[in-house]
Order: sequence, then C-alpha cells, then structure tokens
Amino acid sequence: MNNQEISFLKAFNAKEMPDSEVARSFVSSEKFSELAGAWNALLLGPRGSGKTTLLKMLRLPALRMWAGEEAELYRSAINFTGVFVPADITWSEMVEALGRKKLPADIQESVVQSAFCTNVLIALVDAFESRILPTIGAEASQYRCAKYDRARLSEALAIICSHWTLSPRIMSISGIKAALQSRLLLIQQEVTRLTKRSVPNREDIEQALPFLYLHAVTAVEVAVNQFDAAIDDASGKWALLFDEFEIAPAEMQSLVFRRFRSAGNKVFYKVGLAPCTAHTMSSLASVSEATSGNDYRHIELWYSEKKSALKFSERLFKSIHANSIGTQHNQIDPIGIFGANYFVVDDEDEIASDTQPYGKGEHWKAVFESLKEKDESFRKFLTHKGIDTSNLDTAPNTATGNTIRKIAPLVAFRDAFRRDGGPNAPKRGRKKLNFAYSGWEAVSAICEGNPRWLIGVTSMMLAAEPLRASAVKPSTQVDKIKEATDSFSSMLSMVPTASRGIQTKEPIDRLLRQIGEYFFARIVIDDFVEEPPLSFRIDDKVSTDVLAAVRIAINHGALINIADPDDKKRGFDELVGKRFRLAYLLSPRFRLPLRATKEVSLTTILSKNIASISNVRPTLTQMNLL
Amino acid sequence: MINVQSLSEITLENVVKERSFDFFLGYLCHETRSIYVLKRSHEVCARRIMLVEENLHHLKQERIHPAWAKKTEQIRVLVQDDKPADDLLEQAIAEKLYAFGEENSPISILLDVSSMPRSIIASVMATIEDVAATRKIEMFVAYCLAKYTPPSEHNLVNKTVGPVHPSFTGFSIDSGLPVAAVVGLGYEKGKALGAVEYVQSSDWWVFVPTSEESRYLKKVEQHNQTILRVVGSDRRFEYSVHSPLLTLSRLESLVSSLRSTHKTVLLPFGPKIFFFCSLLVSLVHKNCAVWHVSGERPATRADISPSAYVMCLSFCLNADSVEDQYNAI
Repeated sequence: MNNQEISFLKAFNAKEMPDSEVARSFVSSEKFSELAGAWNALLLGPRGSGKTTLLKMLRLPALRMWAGEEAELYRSAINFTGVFVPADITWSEMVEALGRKKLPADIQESVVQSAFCTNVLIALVDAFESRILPTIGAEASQYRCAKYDRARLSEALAIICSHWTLSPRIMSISGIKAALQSRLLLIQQEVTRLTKRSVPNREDIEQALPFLYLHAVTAVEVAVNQFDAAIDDASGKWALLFDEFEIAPAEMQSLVFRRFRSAGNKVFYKVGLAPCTAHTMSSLASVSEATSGNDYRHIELWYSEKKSALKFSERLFKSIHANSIGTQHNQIDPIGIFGANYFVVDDEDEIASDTQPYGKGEHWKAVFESLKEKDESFRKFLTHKGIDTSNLDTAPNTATGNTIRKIAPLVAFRDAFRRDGGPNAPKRGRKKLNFAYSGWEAVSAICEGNPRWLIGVTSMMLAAEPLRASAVKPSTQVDKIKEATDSFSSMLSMVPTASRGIQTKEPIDRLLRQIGEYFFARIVIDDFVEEPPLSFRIDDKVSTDVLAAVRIAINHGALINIADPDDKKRGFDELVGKRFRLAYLLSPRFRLPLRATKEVSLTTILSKNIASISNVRPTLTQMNLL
Repeated sequence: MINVQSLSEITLENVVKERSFDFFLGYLCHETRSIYVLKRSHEVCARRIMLVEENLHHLKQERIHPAWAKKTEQIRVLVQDDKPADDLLEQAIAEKLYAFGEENSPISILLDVSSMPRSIIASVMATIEDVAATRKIEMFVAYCLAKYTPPSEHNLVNKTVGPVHPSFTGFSIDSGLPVAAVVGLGYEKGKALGAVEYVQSSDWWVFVPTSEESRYLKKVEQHNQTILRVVGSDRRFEYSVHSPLLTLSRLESLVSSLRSTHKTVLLPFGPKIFFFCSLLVSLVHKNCAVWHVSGERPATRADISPSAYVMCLSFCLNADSVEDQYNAI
C-alpha cells in the first residue's frame, strides 16, 4: 500500500490509457468472450462500465500486449483486425457545434457527418499500420502482423486515397493519417470562415469541402478490400469498434445498424452504447426487428446479482493488485485485505439454502435484543412469530429458523440506523455502522462489477493505508466508499435533464432521492416487516417525465435493471413492467443495505411525499452519518 | 484567427478619467450591481446599450432602475434555459457595431460583465469576435465584485451541461486525446466535482478564487472539500479576483501547455471575471472549450449589491492578415 493521493474520479479511465496499460490489468470475462467473436455486437452499458476497455482490447496492439493467462487463447481465436474509433462527449460537442445556428440544418448535418467520417478513417489508418507493423516489446509482438510488398501496398493506398478524395503529400500510411487530420482542421476552418458574416449555401460548402458526402461505412469497406488484397489476405476480416456510439450522428447510427442485417460480411460492427438514448432506442428497435435469427450479440454490461459481479470483481482485483505490488495473482486474497462481510447476502435469496449463515453467536443475540428494546413494532413482530431473542436458533428444522436467517441482516441494519430517542436523537458512533459497507463482499457489491468503480475504490483504500499495511481497516473502507458515493452523487446532481434526445422536467437527483428515502423509511422508520421493499417496478401510471428521468439515470449507472427470467424483451425502449434497483454505490448515501429484495411499484414510491421523509432525516446531513 | 493584444489592467477611475468609448454594453436587471459601472461611466460612452431579459418584462418597467434605463438603448434578449433563445441578440449587437462610424475604423467598447449571465457574455464576445474579423476592437471589460451573499441552499436543476456557445466549443483533430478539465471553483456545493466527473476528464486543475471577501473563500473551500483534497498542490492555483491580468496569464499558460496532449475543457464556475478570462483564452486557443451548466433559476432572485471593488481589463481584438491565417493552418 502506498501514500499516494488517489481519487475515485481519476482512478481509471480507459479512454486515456495506452494499450500497454489497458492490457496490463485486463481480465477477460464472459462478456468479453461474447464480444470477441466474429459477429456484430451491441455492447450496452452505463458510463464507466468498461465498454471502452473491452473494445480497446480488440485492437491488435492491445491483444499483442496482453500477457494474461487466457491471452493466447483469445489471440488464436480472434481472426479480425479491430479498428477502435474513439469518441467522447467533449469531442462530440466540438464536432456538433460546427456551423450550429449558422448553417441550414441539412448542410450542418452533412458537415458533422463528414467530421465523424474523417475520425473513423483516421482510426482505420491506425489499424492498417498495426496490421503490418509489429508492436515492439509486446508479449506477442508479431501477432497478426502481415508481410507485404511495398509497391503493392503503395498502389492500394493510392486507390484508397482516390476513393477518399484525399491527396496526401507522401503516399504512406502516416502520410494519409496526416492528410486526414488536416482534413478535420479544414472542415473546422472552412465552416468558421464561410459562416463569419453570412449564411453560406450548399454550393459554397460543397466547393470548400469536396469530400462532404463521403460515407464512413462505404469508405471503410472499399478501403479494407484494397488493403487486404495488397497484403494477400483477401478473406481478411475487420471489426469497427465504435466507442460511445450514441454520440455519432443519427444517420451514421442507422447506416451501421442496417449493416447488422447481413451476416458474413468482411467488416463487423461492434458498438458500445449507453443503454437508453433517443437514437439508440429507435436504432435498436430496427436492429431487433431486422436481425431476429441473424448472428449478432446483445451484451449487457451490468450485473443485477451480486454473486456474478463478485466473481469478476475478485479476478479483476487480483489482477490489478498483483500487478501493482509485483506478485502472482493467486497470492492475492481480497478477503484477507478487506475482511469479510456476512451481511451482504444474495438478493433473491439464497439464505434458505445455507443452514447457519450467521451462526448462533452472542453478536446476533445482542443485535436482536438491542432492536427489541427500542422498537415496539419489532417486539410485536417477534411475539407474533414466536421468536425468543435469548435463544436464536437459525437451524432450518426449527420453527423460526428460516425467518431469523432472513431478517437477521435487516435487523442489524435497522438497529444500527434507528436511534433510541427517535429521528432527532444524537447520531450513533461510526463503529457500529462500519459493518454495512466494509468487507470484500460489500466493496464488490458497491462496485457492481464496474471495473472503473472497483479500481477507483480499491485504489483509494489501498493508498490511504500505510505503506507496509497488509489489510485495509473497515473505517478506511467506509471513508473511501463515502468519498466515492459523494463523487458519484455530485456527478448525478450535475446530470442535465436534457441529454442525447431525452428530455424531462424531473430532476434526476430528486427522483433518486425519492426512491432512496422511501426505501430507508420502509426499512428503518416504518413498522418492522419481514421483507421491506428494496427494488421497484415501473408501472403504467408513471409519467413520461419520470420515465425519461429513469432512462437518464440508467445511462449514468444510477439504476440497475433486474431482468425477470421470462423477460425476453431487451433494451429500454419500453420501460413499463421492468424492475430496477438503486446502484449500490448510492446505498451509503441513503443508508440502505446492499440488497434488492421485494419490489414495489414506482408510483407507490413517488406518491409518498418526499418532504415528509426529508423532514424526518435532513438530506444534507445524511452523509455525515458515515 | 483573432489576435488579443495590448492586455493591461486598469482601474475604473482611470478608465473614465482618461478616455471615452463608442459603446457601453451592460446588462440591466434587478441587481443594484447592474448599474454600478454605468453610473460611473455613462458620460464618457457615446452609445449606452443595456441588454434586458425579455422574460423580465412582465415586471413593471419602473422596477428595473427606471432612471438609468432611460439613459440607455435597450436590446431585449429572450432567454430560455438560461441561454439566449435565438440569434437576435447577436444580430442586434452586430448590426449596431457594423453600422457605427466609418467602415474599418476601430471601435471602442466598455463591457460591464458584472450582472450579465454567462451565456450572454459568451454571445456578446462571439459577436465581437466576428466583428473583429473586419474591424479592430478596443475592449475595456469591467467587473464589479458583489457584496457577499451566501449560496443558495436549494439544489438548482441542471437542464444542459455543455459548451456555453458554439463559438467556444474548442476543436481537436485527435478525438482520442484525454480530456483535461480546468475548473474555476465557485461556492456551489459539489458543482465542480460533478462537472469534472461528467466530462470524464483524466486530468484536472483547479483555480481557487481569493478576494477581499474572506467569507467567500471559506465557503468555496467548504463546498469543494473533495476536489481540493485530491488535487495536488501543483495543480491548484489561487487567483485573486482583483488581479484579472495575472489570472489570465496563468490560465493561458496552462491551456497552452495542454494544447498538444489534451482536449481541454474550461469549467469556469465562481466569479464572472474568471469566466471572462476563460472566454478570452478560448478565443486565442481555439482548441479549448468553455463549458457551462445551464438550468432553472430560483423563482425569486435576491438583489446583489456592488462592493467597492471594480476590476478592469483592457485589450485589443483584431484579425490576422490573410497570410497569417494560412500559416496557422
């Protein structure tokens, strides 16, 4: 462990990382296997869920750099060249502003399309380079490195340039890249120049930008055919890897999705998308319609159940920590470092299959008796169920064993957060609260199998301990989780109510607060019940504004879909009937357990007056409880 | 390409004493601060133009500083989502500037940004930049520091987060460059932190405002604890709102150093003089963007009184020669 200051915000963003860094800590998963096949794929996930990492890992330099135990297996299975097309919200805003308000809408759309097309071609040229040049110093530096004849390649490049209306100063891959970058600059400068004092017409723009109507998809398909012929790999395959594809122009989106219809192409399309944006939803609808039975994969990058996230988190943590301290993966024990947390049980609920999940110890007796003393509704519940707190037997063959096992974590939670003297009584010490959000199972659950969150949170925790410490104290874990929750909540409070074609009058943060505070009230303030709700289902009374707010929250990872086993309808074009929970990273903010038990309708939650809940526990002071 | 030249810092007294202006451009609103600079400079300004929010016109005209309103021409601005709803403001300002004096003669403008909403400052500067392509513009920018008022306890809703104006979006020929956020801290709780996370920046620098009003700095530090704790001392700049030239110089140096390695986004919360410095830097460094959070405003707006401090910045804007433009490409 070290004393370097690390922030949740900065911890890990694959967008900025060189291939060597992305590959160094990369851990494959079922999701990566699904993505890596020779087929088209939709990769859906909220911000920071690891879409960029997965897509970047399909580039040749990253595959060559990858030294993980399964790397060779993947290298031998992948038979295409990945073309990673980077994009982010900042760049998208830069491009979409070209001529905005100053050009007629249709011309402006062509200009934006042209800039996006140029960006795709720059990415393709990078991939050409990696197809013929080894990656120096990589684990498998020559992997898929093609031999080529210089003259034939030069001839092919000339044909490609002619098709792209490009005149590089030097006919080479780097010369073409430089010419494409100049083209981007030219687009920006010509649009600025032409719109300075007057509204240019289409002819002015067409004359200044003669490549205006070059379409990315056809430009790529023509170019890879020429290139592959030149390197004697006529049957070569390529995969365009679009990051944050929701920010691409609508026309480009629909063009790419139309390509999903045909199987067996030379070029595959693997697109990373936020789960719900206006274009995405309509495009996805058309894909589903057109491709039923065709070979494309729909990959969702979230885990509604903790146990599936836990497996991936453990492998990822072992990988990153082993790399950072220079040891073998199998020598890393997350539970040894963070401790265990037996409160974090699986949601739907496997307690019944475990005969003694919490044991019969004095601790449970103390927790049950503590709550019994201060909570009349709990006393009534115990009497009604015939539970004797002086003899808590959790064995399934006893009359009350199943019930005790089921309620034990909730009792502990209610006891910890419920104050003896009512809502305005003094706050409890932190030590009692550490149980809820520390320990490896809690850390893993809170991070949701989201690589960025996991790397961020664990890095912060490890950095906060002294250099030679071998474990992270629960109090440190809770401090750092609070910091991460704080950053996430701040980001959510910034999320605009108009974003990527979705508009709402319902502030996202207010909606989340209503949900969180409702659950808290049901668990801690209202009368004790055996199974309080911790998830919700969207019903048909929910307004369109709230539905839009839910969509924006899904895109930002604040709401997690719990898919029903019989729900075959994927995507979020229709929300009614779908079940969700709050991201566990928000649990410390609303003081909720890391569970998603029984559901309630969203309308029920929203009909409870938030003000009355807020009056009970002022929101501003909530975080201080931790 | 626009050149910014002859930058200097002066006092309002000297400005008024030593020279006259072709235009005064200000923003007339309920704030007492909105007429502070006008009161002290109207005599030396040939044409006094006040921008007035159209939405405010349901208020009785006499409530908006009637005596001073009478001394000015007014341009009404229809505001929607905290931004001008259309291009009419820019067209109106451009028309007035182009029509003034002889063609190609320089124009001098005293711009009071004290009460002007950020999106409107951006619109004004975008228009002035356009005009500067054909006419030299001598700019004098005044900013009157407000008396301290505590931040709102209400979390206002953010409707949009993005570039403040199409002219300030920045541009990069490398979409894969990491994002650098340069954040001017304000006293709104968590706003800077949220913005940095929203743009998914890989690196960030913060500018912390200091002034004669120590309560402001205290609130800034209190409401930005997390971001201040994690940012290294080499990435934290304290700037005095009383020294805009020094602030501008630091900001420009930083943005310049990030030019080839990052896509830079300026997030200028806090005092408007820092926002203005950000616009000026973005005018010079076309690769960097100035972002803004626009949203609903509270139904009732408290008066903002002027303090005794007025900071002024002067500079000239003119276009490069055609030859220079081609060299830049």
